[in-house]
Amino acid sequence: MSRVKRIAKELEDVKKDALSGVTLTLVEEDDLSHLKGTFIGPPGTPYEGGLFEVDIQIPDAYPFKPPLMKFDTKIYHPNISSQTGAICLDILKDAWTPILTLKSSLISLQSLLQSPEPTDPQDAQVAKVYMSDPKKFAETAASWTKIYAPNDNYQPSKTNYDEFVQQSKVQDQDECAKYGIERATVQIFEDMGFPKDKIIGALRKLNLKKIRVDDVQTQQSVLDEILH
Amino acid sequence: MSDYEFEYETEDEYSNLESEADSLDDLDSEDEIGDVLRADSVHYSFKNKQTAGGLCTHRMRYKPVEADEIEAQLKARVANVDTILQLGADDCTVLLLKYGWNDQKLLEDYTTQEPESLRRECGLGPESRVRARLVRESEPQFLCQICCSDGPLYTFQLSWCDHRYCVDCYVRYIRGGQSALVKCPDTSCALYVRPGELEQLSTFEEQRVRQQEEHENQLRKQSVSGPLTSEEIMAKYQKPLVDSSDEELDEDQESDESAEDALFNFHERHIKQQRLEKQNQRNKILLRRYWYTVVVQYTKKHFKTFKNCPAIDCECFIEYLGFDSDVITSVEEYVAHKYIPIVQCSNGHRFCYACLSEDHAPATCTVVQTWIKTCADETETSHWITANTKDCPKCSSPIEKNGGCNHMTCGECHYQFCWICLGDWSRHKNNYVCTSFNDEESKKEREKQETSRVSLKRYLFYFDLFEIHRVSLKKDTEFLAKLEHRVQEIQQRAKVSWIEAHFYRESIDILLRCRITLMWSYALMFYFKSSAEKGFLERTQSNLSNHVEALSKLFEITPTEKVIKEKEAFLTKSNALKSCHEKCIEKFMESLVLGRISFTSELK
Repeated sequence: MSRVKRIAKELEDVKKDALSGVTLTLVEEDDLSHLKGTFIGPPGTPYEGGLFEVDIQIPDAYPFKPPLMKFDTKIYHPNISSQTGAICLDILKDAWTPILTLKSSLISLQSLLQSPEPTDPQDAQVAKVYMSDPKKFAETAASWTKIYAPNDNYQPSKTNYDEFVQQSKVQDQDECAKYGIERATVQIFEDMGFPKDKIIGALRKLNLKKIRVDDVQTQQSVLDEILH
Repeated sequence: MSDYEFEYETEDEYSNLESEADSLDDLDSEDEIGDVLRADSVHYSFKNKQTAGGLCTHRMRYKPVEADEIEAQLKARVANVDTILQLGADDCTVLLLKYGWNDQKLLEDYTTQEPESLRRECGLGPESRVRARLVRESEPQFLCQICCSDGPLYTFQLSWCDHRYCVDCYVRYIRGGQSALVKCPDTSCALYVRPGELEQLSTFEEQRVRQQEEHENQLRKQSVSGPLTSEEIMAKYQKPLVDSSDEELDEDQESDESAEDALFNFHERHIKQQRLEKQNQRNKILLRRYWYTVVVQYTKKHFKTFKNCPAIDCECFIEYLGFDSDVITSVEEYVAHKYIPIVQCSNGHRFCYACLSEDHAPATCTVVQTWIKTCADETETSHWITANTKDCPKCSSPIEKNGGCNHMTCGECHYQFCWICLGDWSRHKNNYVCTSFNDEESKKEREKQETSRVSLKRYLFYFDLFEIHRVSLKKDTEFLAKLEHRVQEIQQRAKVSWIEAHFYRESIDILLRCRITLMWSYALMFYFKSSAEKGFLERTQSNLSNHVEALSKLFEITPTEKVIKEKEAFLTKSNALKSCHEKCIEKFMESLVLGRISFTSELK
């Protein structure tokens, strides 16, 4: 009962709000469990102006369980499968809480396009290109947008993605800053030949931000964690 | 009846304990452990410290515990931390959960780091206090963000945030959480639901459910008190018939189930019912569910010290307490020495602490794993194929000769050849006698067939014995489970107390246990190289087998009066079987641990 009421209200809210550029429509008039949502690609990215359609299945336990979303529009993005449109986003999985809505989920997807997470990729192939050759990545993503997500109502302001390209390089350093871990500490283990994501994972698990170079005991416990 | 049963259960356990303690004292009167056993209900993987042959058994000490006991332990730890931090049990619970029950680390961090930021990181509010009246009725203009229902509604919120949602949604949200630590539903809020807050929600929910039930009961009563229509009368009188047939059906199904999923003991059905009731009770009350989740998470984290009983849906735990030995310090070492850490949970399920499969003594864990794999593996099928078939020399499809002469025609490619020498049939044309039999090639072929045939025969021999006991174990469990009510019948008919009829149950249990032992001993035998020691073990085995059959025969007696008369025989036979079983296990263990027996190459 609460489910029907809630979905109806969400549909109404989206209809009222023209500013966000998000739309929601029922696939069949009398079936509240299958919807299609659309949103506009965020400016300053290769997805700018594209009209992206998302397939939304609503489970019976909604809003206590997240909606099942996947892209109908083909898209070139590290966290979205270029084949199936499957999405890798935490709020659509374990980080879901019942106060999130379909609209807020679509807006989260929009910001996912803005800031990809190549360390946790859905499409490894795409993520590899994003990391190694950001410029080529941006070009491919832009041409896919043009082909698969055409939008007549929107004229892109410029075709310069420098900022977006820059971001992928900065992101690498951000990783340490994001969790407040000292760069030099990570370096100790990187010198031993361990991959960065594993080191950060281990440090976070042990709740360590900083280790002195001569603190061999703590270092050993981090090593155990990495190897574990 | 359930009261009665329950009494029986506890008494039973008590008497077991007593007898175990007594026998220990008999064996080793200076041993203090007998007292410890009584005081703390510590159990041992082996009854004796030393076998008759003088081998030290390095017993593993353990304790069957229930979720409630672990819960009490954890609560005591919370209280312990609270005496130092003085934050109240609620905050300490969350902190300990966050720190994975590592109190040392928590205390260290709490003293070295800034308390406020630590509290924030651990999802705690600015104060430890739990506010009163967290559940309250809302104003009419309130709208629940989750279900979009309008006020006035009963709402719930945490002490230090103002994210209010209706009680129904909050309860459902908490029930959906996998972990004990549940955050406020608001995405920007980092606060965890604390037990004290949950208690308020839980109490409210409980009261509401009770009111609802009372209301329903009243409605039912009212409807009953009115005059009945003829249809209702029909329904009323037909009902008992339908009900009883339903019950019978249910019973049948249940006994089938119990026979199927349990090699385990006889009280299974009764325990199952108790467990379901317990589960229902627990799930109904949010706070109790919370603590149960805490316990489960805790035991999963400390999986080395706690093991959940592997029997289907059994919620008992075994707490590992170390070894009664100077040599062996861990379960891994114990298993490496070829001992088998068999433990028994409070519901009487016996299982191996190391590999978590059902009691498999005297076979070691490695033997069990290899045996199960061998049985499932297709290699044995292919063994059969090599032993019984030959490949067509032309198209290589396997052919089984099921009779007739040696003139073979391949069903696939219609090639004609001789079964004996595998040569082209054209060479044998006019005489139905193979002349190429002494060729080098055909000799080699025959040798190859010979070895694989011997190995297959050996396997099939032991597999058959294993299967025979497995099947009769299953049949016995089935048969005896159906006789459950007979124990009661014996009691009632003969007008004897439970202790008089106790022998019947005891005999059943020992019989089933011995069947399991026999079954696995055959699997073990398959991997033994033939030697004098093996012959000796085989004699022990067949001795046990004889005792099992002797006791099994007694269960064929059906008239109740006769069963009581035969009590003496039951007691003698089951006691004989018991001591024979112990000796058998001991002998197998001596051979294994002292390395008197060597394994074949099949055991990798």
